Amino acid sequence: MSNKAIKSKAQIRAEKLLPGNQDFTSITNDIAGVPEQKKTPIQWWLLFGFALSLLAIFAGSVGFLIWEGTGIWGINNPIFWGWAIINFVWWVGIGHAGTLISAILHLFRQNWRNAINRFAETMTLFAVICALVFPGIHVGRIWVAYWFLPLPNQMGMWPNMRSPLIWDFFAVFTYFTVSLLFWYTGLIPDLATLRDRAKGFKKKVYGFFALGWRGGNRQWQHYELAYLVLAGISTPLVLSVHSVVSSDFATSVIPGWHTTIFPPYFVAGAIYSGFGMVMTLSIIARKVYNLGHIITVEHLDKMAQIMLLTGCMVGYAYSMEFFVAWYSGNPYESFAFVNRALGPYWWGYWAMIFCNVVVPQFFWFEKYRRHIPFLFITSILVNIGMWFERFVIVVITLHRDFMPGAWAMYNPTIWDVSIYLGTFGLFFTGFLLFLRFLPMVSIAEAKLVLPESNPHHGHDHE
Amino acid sequence: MSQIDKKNQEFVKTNSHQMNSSENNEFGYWKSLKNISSEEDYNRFLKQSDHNEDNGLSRRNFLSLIAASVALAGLEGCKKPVQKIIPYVEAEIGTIPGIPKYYASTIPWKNNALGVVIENHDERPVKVEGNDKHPATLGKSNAFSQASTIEMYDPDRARGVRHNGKKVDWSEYLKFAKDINKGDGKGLAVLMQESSSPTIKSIQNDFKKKFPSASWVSYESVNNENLYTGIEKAFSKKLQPVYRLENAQIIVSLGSDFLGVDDNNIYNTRKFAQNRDIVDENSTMNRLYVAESSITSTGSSADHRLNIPQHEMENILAELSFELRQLGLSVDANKVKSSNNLWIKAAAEDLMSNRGQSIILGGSQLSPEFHQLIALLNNQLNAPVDYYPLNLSQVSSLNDFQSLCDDIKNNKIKNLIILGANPVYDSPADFNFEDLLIKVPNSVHLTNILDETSKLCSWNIAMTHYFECWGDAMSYDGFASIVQPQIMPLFDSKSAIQVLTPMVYSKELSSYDTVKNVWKSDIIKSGNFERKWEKVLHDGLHDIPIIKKEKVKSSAKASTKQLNNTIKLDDNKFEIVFNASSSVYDGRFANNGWLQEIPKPVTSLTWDNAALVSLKVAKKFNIKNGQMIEIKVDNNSIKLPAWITPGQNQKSISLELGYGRTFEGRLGNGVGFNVYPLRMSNNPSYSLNASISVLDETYPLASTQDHHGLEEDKYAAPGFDKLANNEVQSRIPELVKQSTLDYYKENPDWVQKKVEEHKPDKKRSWAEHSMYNPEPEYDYSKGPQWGMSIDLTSCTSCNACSIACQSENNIPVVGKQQVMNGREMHWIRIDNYFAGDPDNPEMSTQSVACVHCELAPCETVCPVAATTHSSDGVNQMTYNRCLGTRYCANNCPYKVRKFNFYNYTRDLPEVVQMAMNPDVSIRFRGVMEKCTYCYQRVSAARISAENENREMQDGDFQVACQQSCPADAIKFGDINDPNSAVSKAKRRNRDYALLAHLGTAPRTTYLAKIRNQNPKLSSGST
Repeated sequence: MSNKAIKSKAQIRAEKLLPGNQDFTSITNDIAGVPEQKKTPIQWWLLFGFALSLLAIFAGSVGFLIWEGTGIWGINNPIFWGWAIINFVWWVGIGHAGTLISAILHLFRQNWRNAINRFAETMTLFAVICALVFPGIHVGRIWVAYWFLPLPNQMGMWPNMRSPLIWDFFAVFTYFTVSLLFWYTGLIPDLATLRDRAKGFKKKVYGFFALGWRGGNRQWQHYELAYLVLAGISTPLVLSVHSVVSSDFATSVIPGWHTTIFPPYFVAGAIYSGFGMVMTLSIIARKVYNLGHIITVEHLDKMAQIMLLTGCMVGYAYSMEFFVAWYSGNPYESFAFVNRALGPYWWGYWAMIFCNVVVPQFFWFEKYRRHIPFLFITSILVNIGMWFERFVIVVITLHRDFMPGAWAMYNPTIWDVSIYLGTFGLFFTGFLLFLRFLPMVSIAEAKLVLPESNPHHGHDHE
Repeated sequence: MSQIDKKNQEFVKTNSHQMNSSENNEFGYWKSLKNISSEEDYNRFLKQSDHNEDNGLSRRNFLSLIAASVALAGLEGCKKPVQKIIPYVEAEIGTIPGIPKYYASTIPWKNNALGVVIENHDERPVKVEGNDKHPATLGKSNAFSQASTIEMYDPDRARGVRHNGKKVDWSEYLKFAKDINKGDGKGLAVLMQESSSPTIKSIQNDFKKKFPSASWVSYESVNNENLYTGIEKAFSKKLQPVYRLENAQIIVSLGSDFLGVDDNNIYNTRKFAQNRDIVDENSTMNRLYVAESSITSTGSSADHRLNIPQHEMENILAELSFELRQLGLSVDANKVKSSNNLWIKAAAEDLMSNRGQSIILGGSQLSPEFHQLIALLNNQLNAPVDYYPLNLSQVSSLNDFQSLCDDIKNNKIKNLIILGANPVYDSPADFNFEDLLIKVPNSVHLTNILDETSKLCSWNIAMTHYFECWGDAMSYDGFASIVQPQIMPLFDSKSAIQVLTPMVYSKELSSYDTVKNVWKSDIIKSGNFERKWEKVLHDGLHDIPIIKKEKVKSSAKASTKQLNNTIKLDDNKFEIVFNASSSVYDGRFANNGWLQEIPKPVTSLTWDNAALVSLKVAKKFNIKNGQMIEIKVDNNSIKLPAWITPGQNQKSISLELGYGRTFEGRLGNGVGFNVYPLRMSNNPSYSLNASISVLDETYPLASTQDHHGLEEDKYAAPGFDKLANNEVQSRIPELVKQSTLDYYKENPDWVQKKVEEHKPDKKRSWAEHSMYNPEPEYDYSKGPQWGMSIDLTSCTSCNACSIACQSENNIPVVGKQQVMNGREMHWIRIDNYFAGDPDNPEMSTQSVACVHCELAPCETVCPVAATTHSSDGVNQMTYNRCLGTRYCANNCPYKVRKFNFYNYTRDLPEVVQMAMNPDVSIRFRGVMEKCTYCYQRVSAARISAENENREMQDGDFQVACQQSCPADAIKFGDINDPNSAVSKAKRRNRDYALLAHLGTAPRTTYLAKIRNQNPKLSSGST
């Protein structure tokens, strides 16, 4: 054996995922340093101001919506669902990456996730909040939207459990609850770290939420187990939520909605868009906070690979829909799909194909997977593409269904746009507050990839 | 049993009330949401009620006002009605709160009478139905009569009397009228609309005696003058033809829209449809040939339609005459041959081989000579047409009107009394009536709304609606019919009788007394008058006609010589044809929201008129829908938007009258474009040598249906603009199943075969293939189960059902902007499909409302179970449970659910609220609604059957659409009763369910459309 130090596998991995000779202290300092900043960076204030103004637009638009009614939107007969439902499905889809990264990749021991999971989980929470806004406000009589809930009442009226909207409501709420728990559980050791480094009032607040974490061996054992169990619970949810959302469409009789491929296709699409959003946000955050050594190109490369996979899955689904429409011999079904590609909203369909099928093909090449500006643009295109996918499904399907006498066109109004933009305000306000006050990368988990965290570190068995 | 007999009905309506609201032109109406009136406006309106200056007109006060009933019948006409204020709790004996009363009355429609039964709730009329005892309606009705309730409750109606713009008392007018009475009638003229009122006729006779030098003129901008003149030339007497279409096997219509906008359309449609009611493949049906320049309801019902411009119609008649001569008719006709010879030959052969059962009908717009020849031909064909004398009617005369204008021009007219007419708006443009009217020192305008004419008249008197006054009218075949008030005049208005009597008799007579006296002396001549009078009030008409059918004798020889068949149109010129509007007629319904918003047959346009141009013209001039064009005839021009219409003749442009009004009607003011400026006295039907220029601007038109049938899809992917068109073409045979009679005879089970064609398992029904609950909640084999059958063969897409539904079910008017957004609320939608050659397409119409699926896709998806099934098989909406996710509507394959995107009824003026049916709740915003099978009527009938301790029987009640349908195409009833009309209809082999393959098991099914095509003419039209 030569003197030349031979790097262990773990060391090689660590250098890839956490380059630049880092140790426990430097990681803690780097990550915890962000919420501990005395002076809030001016960029943060600029972004926060922008997000707040979008939030104000959101509040104003929703207020006007409640005052006037859903007539302010572009929806009509027969396109009874418009941007509200598109946005709902879009935001729920984005919310998928968080749990996938945290839970499934955790179960598969994909340690590269550790740099981005906090990020992704937080994004999930706010995305699901944005999504949950829509079922509430899109109904005609907002003040009785609580009828969705199975509340005991004197009339003995329960929700109609046959309705996919009820399944939907339960699925998304369950997902939100579990995601919140999962996120919070992961946060506990880091909150304790912040508590230990903080003083005064801050210490009390962090201390309250750290639930008395001391980092002892038993605590870690319980913690790891709890985290594993939560990961186990979350995993089926990743698959179930969007499957259930897809049943809003799949259980209907409308050609173009009534297809069995929807559940897997929706899940793939959701992961695809979720990773797109994580990519966008992490590229911004690592730039703003100089965290290039923690969220590395390696992480981005891995995400790009998942996007390539899911992008190909949705591409397959798109082609399979056409095949089945043709193979079924059902003329209504065939027309629904031909109309998507060639009808009056053909541009929406082809925008979707370009963004979701063509763009990710670049990720076959490592060069593009590691080209950060390219990744940034791509990640945004992915989310545009996924928005168009829902536009295609909701609007293009509804505008021409069975009876040509009831066919119509759909034109969104300023209020459709403003509420959509407004949800970005909701999302970014929440997300920026998170960046300001909580560690954006899991301190404890980031350290896991360091050779030092290996229990056998320092003990040479050779 | 007549439906009137069935209801508790009193002979004399004694209970009316008065609710005078003074002037107010501000309180809101629902033209658009921009005009939503504030609460302040609303309160202001409330305060303006004369009776309730302090308290506002609350519902409670309103009820007590109702109870302010007039003690005796007929006193409404008195100057000072003796009123007893009785609290509602001590209402008139026999009044059961919540149980409507039905009174027979009559809608005077020009010189016709439409017998109706009016449903009154809490002593206010809310719904019009046909009177099955009346010969002109036969228990049915049309869109105009259905919409007359909303017309009466129009808050924009004129109020009281005005002199030179100032509100004055009625006594001022009486003074003026008595002054006239003192004179000899020099300089006096009366101008009125067409009428067949025996009372008015009697007053007119006295007027002529009293004022020998005065003139009395009838003028109507849309009239049958040419028809009457033609008949006069043929039979030397002006006669009213009544077409007995039930006896006609072959009908050839040359430009006649006898099923559409026609003064006798209810009767015509009813009788025409009788011969289209095919039970099975062995039934016979009539055959309809239509030649026209623009598709009408009649043309869409045709078995063979010929697309020719109006000015060539006389050529067609000449050619037809020649062919008839060849086949043995004695007519002086020379050989003319045109490209349409095949059609004409076939029509001629059919006419001849069905002599005695064949008839030719001519469009009222065509020349007197044209009608003369048709009358003579019909006479030779022994056609089923009866002629009745017109001497008791006042029919429009352009000559009389012209001489009145000349008199005014020569300052001969001092006092002009205009009764109801609006000549400033609708008289021929070359008369410049506007300038003439100013020259008349004293002009009186009796008007229902302050209009173009009122502005220039010194006296304006508010006119009573026919729901508010006593009067009478006579049907074409001589049945005198009574107009009974349903309610005291709402707006301090007077009837024509009240305006005329002080002038003629020097004292004001009550309408009631006047009418009764005339009936006593002229109509009910034998027997006990009082008893017969009471029967008249009950039945709505006198059962012995007051005129007799005339036996006609030709006074001229049938000849084509007089026909003007040399008209030539330059290549780059067009003819323009003026048509009465199916929505606003000649403009009189311009302020009627229901009629403004009802999609017009064929074009589906609402809230506007347009120049209808053919596809070829549109291509040639690069005209798009809504493109403004300028139409120039001689030195006059108008600008209006174009609408590309299939089946429009390429040499012809159709213009709809009645729009572009400038009056004090907030709904109709400025709606559409006035085409009267192009209409001259020398050719009021069509003008030649019109040139068009395309302007560089577009105008938004609100159409409820995109016509993918024939147009290119301008937004489709490049190169695929025919995609939707091809798809629609391939779907039409699936949705509107249709075949020819010959094919049907050979393949009686073709409809059933077609429905079964793709069924995976032939042993199971489609419903058993459904993805939804295969075991319905209820046992549908028990009890009454409601179902409907719609016969597409007899439906003419006349819109009567849709407006009847609107009236019965309080469907809101949403305004043009909302219609453009695709949010019209009509529960019955009439789909128009065009197949084949865009220039002469085969048009299919289909009225679609909720089909009440037994396995309803809407029910499973509602998250709060707001739409569910009843045990009698009706898909029901629970409005107050609905939270408005709109998922049900998305999942409805028929797209028949309508959503209240806004609170469309928020700003309904109090007066309009009175038109609402109290049996049906008003829907709030955010709530889904749709056809309920008129469940309120089902319930009412069930309750009364239970009270009488009997089972419900077929015919106990009718749903609103069924009741109004003049073609009797809609059958409704218990499908478990094998003898009910609907069961019988559903057992016919033409019965099919729309989109049956979805397994929704709809309760409304359709009877396939059968066209009785002449095998000699190739398939398709012509």
